[in-house]
Amino acid sequence: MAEIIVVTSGKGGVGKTTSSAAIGTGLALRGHKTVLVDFDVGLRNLDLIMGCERRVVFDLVNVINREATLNQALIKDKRTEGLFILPASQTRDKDALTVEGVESVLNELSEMFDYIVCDSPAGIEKGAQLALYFADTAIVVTNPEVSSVRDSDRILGVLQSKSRKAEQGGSIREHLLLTRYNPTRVQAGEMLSVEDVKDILAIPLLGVIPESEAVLKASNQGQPVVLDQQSDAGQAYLDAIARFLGEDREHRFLDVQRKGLLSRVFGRKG
Amino acid sequence: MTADNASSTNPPFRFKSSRVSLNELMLLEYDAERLRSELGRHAARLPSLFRQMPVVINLEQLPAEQPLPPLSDLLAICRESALNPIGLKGNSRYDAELCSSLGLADFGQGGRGEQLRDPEPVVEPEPVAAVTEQAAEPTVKAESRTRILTAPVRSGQQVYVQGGDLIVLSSVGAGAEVLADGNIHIYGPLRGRAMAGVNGNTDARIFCQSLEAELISIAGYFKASEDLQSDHWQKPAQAWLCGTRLDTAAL
Repeated sequence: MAEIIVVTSGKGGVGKTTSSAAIGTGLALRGHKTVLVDFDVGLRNLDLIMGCERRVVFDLVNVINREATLNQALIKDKRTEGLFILPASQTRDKDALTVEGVESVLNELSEMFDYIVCDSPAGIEKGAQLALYFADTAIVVTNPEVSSVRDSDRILGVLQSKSRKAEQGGSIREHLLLTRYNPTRVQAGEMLSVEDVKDILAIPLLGVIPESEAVLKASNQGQPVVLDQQSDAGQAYLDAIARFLGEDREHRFLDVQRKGLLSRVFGRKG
Repeated sequence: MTADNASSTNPPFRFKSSRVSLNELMLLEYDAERLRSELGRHAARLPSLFRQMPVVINLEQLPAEQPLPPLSDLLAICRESALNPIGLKGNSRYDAELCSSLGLADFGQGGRGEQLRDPEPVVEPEPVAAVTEQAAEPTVKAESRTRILTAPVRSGQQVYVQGGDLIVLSSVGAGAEVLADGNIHIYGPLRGRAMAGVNGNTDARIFCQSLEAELISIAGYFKASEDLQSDHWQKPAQAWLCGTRLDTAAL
């Protein structure tokens, strides 16, 4: 039986797909058989971020409509062992997804994988609701910025009331993933701090991913940033995955880094 | 909601948002004689309750196969027992014009907006059933039902405590709404909207550990965030109604 993780946020453009790709890849690197499912019907980009857009033949909607089998639609990742992608349809829209259809696909995937990572679309409507409906765990991706925090608060409310677990009287395990964090701007008072966001959302912090040029580079190359082990974002994602799997890791990249001569003379700050 | 009129003459009236507790007369079956005698028995037992009590006649439980009772007859039977029927709920069969000519308001089909999921279900208005044998307590003054929430109230969620106080042992997020007929106590920051005394209770108060509200209101009199930027902003505070003015003070 697989654990179903939904990566959601409410707000668009905060890093759900980047994080889904990173987390899925990271779990597979740790030896867990993982599948990434793109729920953003009509605006798919998980396949681009994973670099498999040239191998997409069948998609989630084809499988739901029994136009293809799961094995025909699943794309095996070429770089990471045990990692598969189920892309979304680009030509259909969200009405093509049904609760029964999604349930049947997830049940089939549950028997083949250890982890199912559902990349949710932005918003709180049908697409996002279907992505979170069957989840056991939710990773709420938030930027340290007021409208993102407000929308994350909203999606937490939706998770608590509109999921299968909530309907059965249980609850989804919630984690906060703070992305695009810039310590310099936090220090200047231009950006919310980790403590500010934790105070408002009140859910356990999974990780803080620093703002990084490596992310844009990785997505344009079709390579999950977690494979760029030199980058700060890649390392921060690996830390987050370790924490997800129960390990204790200190949060890095929270403080302003001073470089060069100054740091040698005065010593690193914080 | 009250609003200042900037026109040259003072209007002779004002609309005020209010939320009153109404009892519903839930019809389970219709037999004119039986209804008349049962209502008469209830009225005899609880004369103070029935004294012109306004009721909404709820037709949701009436079996669809049952022939429609003549509306004017139904109203006459209610009035004979000193009930004051003001409208219909769950009506899908009576003609709208007929209802309007008889002065009946349409209370829709029942159901509310998104409710907060909580172990204890949201309390519905106490129905006064037409044909039950219960020895009813006067149901107009419901016992105080205080509701306690322990998780944060998230943006977009709405909680309404009818006939009691609300206690939140966490925060109320921006974009969330909490309402109560009684007082509202928030052991955390209030960043959303809090509306106390929604049934007209002018003694209701709002307490919070950090006043950062988008709007607070007591018995319909409200102040938006802009007007709350006083010494008590972002500090522990309470709000109460002084005549028609909403006052705040440090806790």
